Amino acid sequence: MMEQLKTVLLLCLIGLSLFLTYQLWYGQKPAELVAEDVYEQVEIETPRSLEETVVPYRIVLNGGNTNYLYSKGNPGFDELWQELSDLLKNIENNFFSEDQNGPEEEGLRCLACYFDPALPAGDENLWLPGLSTGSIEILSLYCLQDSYWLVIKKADQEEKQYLLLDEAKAAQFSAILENLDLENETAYSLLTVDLINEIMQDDPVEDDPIENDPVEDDPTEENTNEGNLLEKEIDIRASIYVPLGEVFMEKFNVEPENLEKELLLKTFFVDYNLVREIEERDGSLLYTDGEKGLRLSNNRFEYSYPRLEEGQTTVNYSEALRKSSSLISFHGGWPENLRLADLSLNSRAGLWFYVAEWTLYKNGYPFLTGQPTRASFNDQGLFHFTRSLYNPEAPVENFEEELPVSPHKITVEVAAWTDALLQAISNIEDTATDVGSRLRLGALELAYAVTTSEGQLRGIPVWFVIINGEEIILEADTLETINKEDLL
Amino acid sequence: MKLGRAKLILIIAFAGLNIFLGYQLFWPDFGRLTEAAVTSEALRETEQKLAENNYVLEASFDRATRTSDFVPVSPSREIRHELLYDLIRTGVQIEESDRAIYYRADDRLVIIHTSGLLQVFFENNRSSLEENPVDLDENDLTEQVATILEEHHLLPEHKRFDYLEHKEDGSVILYYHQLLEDKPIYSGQLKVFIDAAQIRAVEIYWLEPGERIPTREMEVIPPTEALKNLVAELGPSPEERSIQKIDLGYYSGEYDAEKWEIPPVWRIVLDNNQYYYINAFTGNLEKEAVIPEQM
Repeated sequence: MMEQLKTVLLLCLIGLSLFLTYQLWYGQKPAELVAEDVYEQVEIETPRSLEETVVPYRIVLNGGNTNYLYSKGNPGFDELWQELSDLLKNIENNFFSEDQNGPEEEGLRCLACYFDPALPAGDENLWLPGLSTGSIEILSLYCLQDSYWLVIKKADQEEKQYLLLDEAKAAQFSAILENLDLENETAYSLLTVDLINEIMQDDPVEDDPIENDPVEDDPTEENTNEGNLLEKEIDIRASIYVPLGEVFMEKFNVEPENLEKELLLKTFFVDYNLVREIEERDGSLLYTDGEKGLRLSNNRFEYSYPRLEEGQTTVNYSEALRKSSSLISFHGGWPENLRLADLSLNSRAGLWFYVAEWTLYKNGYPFLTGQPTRASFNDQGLFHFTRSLYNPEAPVENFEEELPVSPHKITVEVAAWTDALLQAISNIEDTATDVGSRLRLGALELAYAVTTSEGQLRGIPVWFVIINGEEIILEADTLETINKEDLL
Repeated sequence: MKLGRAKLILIIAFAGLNIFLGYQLFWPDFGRLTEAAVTSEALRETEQKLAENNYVLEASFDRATRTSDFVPVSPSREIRHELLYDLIRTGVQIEESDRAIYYRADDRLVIIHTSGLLQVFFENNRSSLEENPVDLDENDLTEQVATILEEHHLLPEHKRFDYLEHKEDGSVILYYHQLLEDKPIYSGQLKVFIDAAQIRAVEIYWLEPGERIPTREMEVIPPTEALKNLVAELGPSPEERSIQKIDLGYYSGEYDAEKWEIPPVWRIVLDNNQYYYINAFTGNLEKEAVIPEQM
């Protein structure tokens, strides 16, 4: 009897010891220990590869007398860039020369890729590995009858470099171009001073008032615009492509991207438990551990770590590209159709740092927002970050306008580029004290502006114009001015 | 018989193991609370580090392991309500600006700032003390001041007299701080400005504690670490400086916000007139908040 009791007691004790061990190992920790166990693993998006990080901001295809543009967000853009990228990675036997006899004629250029940020190429880089190391701004393909030439323009170099492609590579490029279906694409023309003069003379504004032109009720002002344009010289400072014929764009509702607050906090504050919350009067939330600060508001967030600003920068351009990809992937993720739009090395008070900036695209048109999505970093790490991204797929419900083409969008006809240019010049003359007789045109392109109306965030098609360094945003259909302060 | 003995040995062994496991599991605080956060060796090392930088430790402190938490707060409106009721009852002229509201009565001017700061300036002899403050001892002075403040609805609850500052022009400032369960909230402050035996002005920045989250209670850094961090921040002193007090409380800079959390701090008093706040979780010197601003 005694032995049986001992057996039962022993079994109970063994069972209890197993239970206690389990509890000690896996059970809840007391509060006092929490601070020591905060370095938890955070699951975040995998950073993008270099070929997904650097993509052209525009691919221009020459189809005879007209051009076709591909940008981020256009159907087929990612596939086209992927094919071109693969091909460029395999061009190893590089004998680029600065021979001045290479092809130059615009009509022979069948493809051009414009990069901003520049494409890292050459030794130790993915693309054109045989080339001397450098960053490519424009990469063009010239299709002659019996030969294909690759022509590159490096950043900070005036001279172009030329490579005569072998037959196999030429055939591969040719196949890519032949597979593109350009039938339903909008045709564009490279803007030149000759084209401006030609259009203005062929289509005098006073005889054919422009539909929807906001200045049409004021013939004096209209005439002034035309006269000024014809009188003033226009200096085109960038490769600007303007649409030939009608362009239709969508107006749509947008909503701020939905970021998980707790995950976001964990990506900025390693020791999440030491962070305190401040609720500001406008409803924004500020988180700080005394050294770093993160402000979350409805449409954006902003992060600052002033102590790291003292650091220096030694990483090269390629490394900085990789770092920028990691940063945005880590802090909120890299949504579809977001493109790295700039990466520059800056200095302040003798301290060097990189600034990376991203732009969201829809159907090939960039989004203009009030606060950029921008990261500033150095060897020490990220010291300033702002992020303001929107989901353009929110359904349209509150639009007052009638005639929706589909339940999710309203399509509007875009005013002609000539009208947009005239209106922008008029705006500049109204605001600037001394415009001068020569206008420097830096941009004339279609985009989307994020604004608000009756509490609803909206994506509005706009003409974005830069004249004499001044940025002008005009509603694409009415050409009414949108103040930059009204952008969200 | 041998099996029986073996069972007995195993029973004793497992009973011992279970007692050990139970102790580790259910009384983890027991060992931690009896453990000194500041060992004699750590104290000696700190004193040596301080001496190397020309600081002398004269303060004494509790050497046990301490825990604390964040306190959610918002600007208190309690004092404001009582005061305004009194003012409106007696008649008041009101002016408003972006950052404050001004209430002008016959005997005082009251300014309520949007941040929650309340200032009262007395303009007659209704706030006179019985004697000049320099002739009073600290207890008598605080007692008389408390009576006058209560009469003017300016005495908040849960306060503690902190220290007295004598200015070169003969005026005196009395400092009180707010208390939360006997722990000081140094951000919640009452200042009384006395000149020529009269209370000239009162400043009150009082906070309303919110609901605390028990799971956020954590162990704080030992005071020796806070001292070392402060010296690292201030650097070596050209003249000998005396560390006279070190206490655990709560402190953060003022925010013009709706609600915020204030961290525990070690308040270190140097030479009886300089006050530093070291975050008791991070060990950083508490300065102005890091507010992200657009570059």
